[in-house]
Amino acid sequence: MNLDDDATLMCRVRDGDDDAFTLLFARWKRPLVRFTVRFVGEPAKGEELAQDVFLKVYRARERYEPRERFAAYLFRVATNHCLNEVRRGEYRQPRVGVDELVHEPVDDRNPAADDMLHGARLQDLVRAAVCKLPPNQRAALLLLRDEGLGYDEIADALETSVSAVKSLLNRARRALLAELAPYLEQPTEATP
Amino acid sequence: MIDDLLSRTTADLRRPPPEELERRLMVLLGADQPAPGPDFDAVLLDRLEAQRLVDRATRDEAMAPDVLEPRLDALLDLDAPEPSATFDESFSFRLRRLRAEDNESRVPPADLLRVPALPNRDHGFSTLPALGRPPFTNRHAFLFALGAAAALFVLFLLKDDTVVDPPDDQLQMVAHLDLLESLDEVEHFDALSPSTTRAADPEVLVVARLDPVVLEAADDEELFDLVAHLDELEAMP
Repeated sequence: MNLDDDATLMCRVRDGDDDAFTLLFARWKRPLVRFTVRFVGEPAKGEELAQDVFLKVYRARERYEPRERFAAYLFRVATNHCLNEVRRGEYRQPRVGVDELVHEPVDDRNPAADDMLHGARLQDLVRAAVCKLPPNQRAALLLLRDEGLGYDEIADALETSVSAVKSLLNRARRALLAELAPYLEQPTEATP
Repeated sequence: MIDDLLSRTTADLRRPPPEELERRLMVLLGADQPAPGPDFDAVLLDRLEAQRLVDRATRDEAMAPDVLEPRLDALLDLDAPEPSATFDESFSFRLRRLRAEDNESRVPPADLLRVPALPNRDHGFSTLPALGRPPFTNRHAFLFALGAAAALFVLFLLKDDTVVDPPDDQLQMVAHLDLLESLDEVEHFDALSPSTTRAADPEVLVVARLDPVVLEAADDEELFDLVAHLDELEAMP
């Protein structure tokens, strides 16, 4: 089997090359933080979970076998870790709920600040909406949209079938469409 | 000129006060009371229906999946959290700690016992490096314990004055008791105090810290022989 670059790096980590692990960390920290923070909806907790995942990968390095893309391996570990964390209930829900965000006043005197505030609130709102999804739907959605995993890789990470993954994704999108409906009537401006 | 001024004042005096003017204005305005025409309601209803149709068409167009999906994606793209400024540093610390713990747990127990050359080693084989490793057989354990017992006896005979705290005889007794205890119950690690172990001869430590697994592996006959041998040694003048 042809290994991707990262799987090759991970093999080097397995063989005792700590520099290879540093490279992997540099490459994957942003995607992993993005995933974990969006999964739990809390930046500090999300970062801690991302670090946990890297440490888990490092601790298990001697048992690593490159049977799949490294991304699939990494996010399978991450998904399991996040799901366990959510099941333990040791994380907090996002600070701001969707309902609170809708009615917050805006500052009419400073349009630039208002835009920034609006952007930040919209970002919080999106995060809150994602966090309201059931954990499996959330994981499937983030793995597909943000991390580009295939259906089979997501199914592997969630220990379910491909058809179940498709169903999870369908339900997740419908829930988000309903939750974010007021913000979908107009196109969203691209973030700077 | 004076006549002109007088006539103007007179005209002003004849004008009604402002309140009266306002009242008259309101009366005049009130006289115009247009009412809805007979087809007003029907026209309004038609126009309302037309507006509803336009609205529905616009909403349907806006809510079509091929329009909504990209909008949802764009909305979801708004949330792209990044690692904080301290993320790397904090992870580096945790990784270093993990590596340190890793290294600590990988050191085999025998390494902790590895001491410099034993001055009175006369048993002809190297015991410590092999302690606890697979080739270490019951026979080795027996010979090892025997050698250690011999070292105990030498200590007993020498009564080394350099060992002040604790005294030699006490040290030997502790070590011997520990050995016997280890043979019986294989629980001796906590028996020696740190001060005792620091003061003890390396060979004594070897005896006192024999790997319980090794001792456990020795068969009863070997252990019996060992204890008997120790007793003989102690009984010697």
